[in-house]
Amino acid sequence: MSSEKLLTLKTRDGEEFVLEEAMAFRSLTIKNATSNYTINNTPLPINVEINTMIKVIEYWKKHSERGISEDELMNFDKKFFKLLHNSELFDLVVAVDYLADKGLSNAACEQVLDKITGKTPQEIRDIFNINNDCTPTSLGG
Amino acid sequence: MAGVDRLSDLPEPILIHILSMLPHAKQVVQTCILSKQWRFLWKSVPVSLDFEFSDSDNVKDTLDFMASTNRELNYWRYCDKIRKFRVCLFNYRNHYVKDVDLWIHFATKLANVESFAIEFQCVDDTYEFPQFAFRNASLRNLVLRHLELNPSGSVNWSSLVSLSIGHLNLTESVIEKVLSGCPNLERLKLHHFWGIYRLEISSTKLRKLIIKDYYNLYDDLWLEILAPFIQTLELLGQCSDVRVSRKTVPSLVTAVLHLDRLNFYFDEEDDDEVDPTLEKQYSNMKELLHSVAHVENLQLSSWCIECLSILELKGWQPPPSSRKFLKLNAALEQLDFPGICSFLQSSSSLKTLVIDWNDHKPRENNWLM
Repeated sequence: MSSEKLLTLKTRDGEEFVLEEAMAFRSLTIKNATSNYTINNTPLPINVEINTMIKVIEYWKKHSERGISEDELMNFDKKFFKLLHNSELFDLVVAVDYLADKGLSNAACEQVLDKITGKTPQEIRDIFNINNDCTPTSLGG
Repeated sequence: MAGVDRLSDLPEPILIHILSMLPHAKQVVQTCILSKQWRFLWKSVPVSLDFEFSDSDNVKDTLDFMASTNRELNYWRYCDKIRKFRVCLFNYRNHYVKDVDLWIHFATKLANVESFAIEFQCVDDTYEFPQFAFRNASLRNLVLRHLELNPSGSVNWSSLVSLSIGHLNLTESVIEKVLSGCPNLERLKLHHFWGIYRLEISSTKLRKLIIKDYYNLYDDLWLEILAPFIQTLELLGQCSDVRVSRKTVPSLVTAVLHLDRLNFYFDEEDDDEVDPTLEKQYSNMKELLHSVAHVENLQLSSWCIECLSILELKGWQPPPSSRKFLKLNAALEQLDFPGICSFLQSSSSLKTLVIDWNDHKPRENNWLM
């Protein structure tokens, strides 16, 4: 398919890359930004860093594959998120929220949710490095 | 990087979205002690509350459970958005009246929940739904099981979209009051009920009616349904004495007939005993199948299919029907084939036939005798 429309994007940290428009439009933010946009060579700036964008594109590519089965997608998602460090996961959560891709956003949020579900407050503090600055009196509310 | 708290730095809407997916509402409240920053976030998280104590009839244990529920409600009242509130007890006794009143008040007047369910598995005493709760503008879904309904004034559930009431004695005047007070009702379910012989639904919005286990107290009476605008009708369980006709449900598109044979308790001593209600049940089934001939989508239970065979043996011809979709919910046996064949012959416009073989129960073949 040689006539796929391409889009040039520029990340927050200055990296430029090219993506098929159809794939980039999984992001409502990108889609809305290009709606009034005349096609020229100026790259569209997006508020995401390149490392995180690479992960997003990896996910989009897999989820755009023709003929892929539900099972294969599930396995991919499992592996995809397993390989992320907490900090990468949070970068992804924030980036995908900005990009407005509901599917990936829910998937990423569920990953965070899984780390919280069923844990005691102290366990949650340990996992996420939350500093417990509560004093006994401040818990009264 | 060790030591960095990225969770607390997430934008609030994202945090609220994540917390709203926690399966146990209690955990949402617990986040208030994570750190000072988390003190008030929980109040903005939409939650669903479900308090169930339905395994035990022990009075002391039930009272303890209710006390602990009430303690929890003390802080839930500060939550901005309680989507759903459900309480389920094994048994209702007069002991519990103040607590049940409190829960209904909490749900309908304090927290203004959208979905409210109050269910008793059985009742030793009668609980009457309090008068103040018949007027409410926030409720969209209401489920009441084993409560008496006796509105003294008018009913005003202006936002109600779905209503399910069961295990109670109804009267035509109560149903009329309820239906008049729910102008936006789209779905109505009545189950395990008795006391009405006419159900008239004139709202154009109410499109789905579900009736399960109608108890008829009088042999020569039945429940007539007049609902010119309903599009889906489900008759479940024991509904032998529920009557519809093409004239009374002209807009019907989907009919789900998951009917069971009426229970009859055979005398174990008497081998020759025959169920005296059987003939009437076959005759009612025949009428019912006539009355849904105009319906596009039909689902039949295994009892309906058994009846098809009996009726076929008796020489009944199913009326021609323009139905397009037929689902048979039964493991078919050889005895079923003549009945089904004759039924299919009357369905010349059929596009889809689904046979759900899930029901493997061997059938009682008493009717062969």
